[in-house]
Amino acid sequence: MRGISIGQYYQADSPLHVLDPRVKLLCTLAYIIILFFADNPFAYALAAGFAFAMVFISTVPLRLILRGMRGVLFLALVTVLFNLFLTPGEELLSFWIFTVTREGAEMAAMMALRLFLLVLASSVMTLTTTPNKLTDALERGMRPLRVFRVPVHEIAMMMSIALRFIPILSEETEKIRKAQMARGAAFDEGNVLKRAKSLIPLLVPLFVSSFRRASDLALAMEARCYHGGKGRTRLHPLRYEARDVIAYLIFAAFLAGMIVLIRVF
Amino acid sequence: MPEAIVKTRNLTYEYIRRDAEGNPEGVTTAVDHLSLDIAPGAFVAIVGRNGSGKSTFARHLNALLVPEESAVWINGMDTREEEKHLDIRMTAGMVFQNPDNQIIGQVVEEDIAFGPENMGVPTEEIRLRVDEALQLLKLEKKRLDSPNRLSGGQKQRVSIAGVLAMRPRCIVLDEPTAMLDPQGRAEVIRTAHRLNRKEGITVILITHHMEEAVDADHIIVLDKGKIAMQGSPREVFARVEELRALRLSVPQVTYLAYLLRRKGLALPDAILTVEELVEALTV
Repeated sequence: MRGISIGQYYQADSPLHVLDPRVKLLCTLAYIIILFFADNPFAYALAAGFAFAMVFISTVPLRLILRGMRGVLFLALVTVLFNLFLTPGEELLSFWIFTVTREGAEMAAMMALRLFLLVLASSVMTLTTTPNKLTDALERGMRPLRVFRVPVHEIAMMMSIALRFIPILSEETEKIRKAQMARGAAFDEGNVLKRAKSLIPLLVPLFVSSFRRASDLALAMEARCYHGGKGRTRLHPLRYEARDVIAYLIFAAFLAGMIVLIRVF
Repeated sequence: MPEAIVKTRNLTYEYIRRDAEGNPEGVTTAVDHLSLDIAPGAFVAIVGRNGSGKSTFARHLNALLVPEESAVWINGMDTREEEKHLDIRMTAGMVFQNPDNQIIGQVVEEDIAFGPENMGVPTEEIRLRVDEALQLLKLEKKRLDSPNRLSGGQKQRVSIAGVLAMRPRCIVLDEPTAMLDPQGRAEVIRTAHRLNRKEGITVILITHHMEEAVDADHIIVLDKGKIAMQGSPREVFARVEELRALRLSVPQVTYLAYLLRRKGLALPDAILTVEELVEALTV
């Protein structure tokens, strides 16, 4: 539970930080999509160059970003190995039951790069945007989905409440853990099954208390006139400024470059 | 006398007690034919031990609970009319016991804005109200902090600011100090008095700490959903035996004076502060 880094925000005064969260969300999404179309070294070079330029502009230390990426290392490794050994094609080398093909090696390298850039781009976004603004952007960005009766406002509200309660619940987990340890519970002993079982006395009180909290919070929200998204105004409404338009234009130029490179090579 | 901001007539609330299997065991009357009027601008303390019905009563003032028959009027609005619920909640704001479970925003000022946002107040006006509430509760420096980093007393002040930004005429504080340390408790009670005196906001303070009721204009003692006693603090605290029979404590100094008087010392009826006792003893 400790060291949760989802939506970790890095406070700084960069041009990326002040951008409208919708710009960052939309561009990151488009960036990830175009990554999956990139199929040659030139396109990857451009994509990587763009990502690193963004890291530079954000003033977030690269070290910090890379440290946050350790979590996906395992996933990347599995993907790379699978691609390396299981892609049929021209044989490069083989030992025992494994064969590495040229196509496999290419594929693996591409997948690794793709994953790396994908996580890099999303990290830059979450590091330069407060979770609050991100949920705001999601609410606005998903607004068209309301046509399909998707409860957009409710989803955004749920996300922001969840974010607010993560620290509270993790503190509470720690408290319960210590209380159970004081009564002789052992959380770090035995095999996987035993450890999983030892979590029950931790999770049950946590669940009970979360439900109580939820019901308290619902009452408090109602007392403060909450009645859904209808007719709601905001303290910090999202407004596009000139700089946001410029950002969109720069990104459009990058996108055009990517498309040209993918088409030509 | 101006029209009462809170008026109840024969307010009754019953719920069915159930045993562990969910079979009904009997009916508990949490609030029993309660009738009272609270004048605008008053500071009223409602005291009672656990299960006296005080919290249930409080929830009726905010239309979180609605009686079956017309029994509660907030500024003349019948809480049974659902279309008036928003108006009622804007008139009578409510602060709850646990500050962690009533702060919605991840930033202090955003939480304070939550009420006005729900009311559809225009952005510029929200900004004004938030700044005003921050200033009134002396939270300007904590404006951009995460509520998680505040002390209990500060968190509860954020909750009060959130209610204040809705510009209510009356604030109901439902055991706002139950989860705070002594310092946080004093902080919250002081704030409530300041809002009452300077802003003219009606305060209804629900508590089981009798010390917190000492400075109220009027005390209502609830027991088993009924009014057991009411009057000025001096009138109520003069009845030490009755209060003790209701398992309510009196402030320590009041109790000391009571014991001294029983031993034959000539002391006035209800002594509420240490200073008063010192003065009475030195004359």
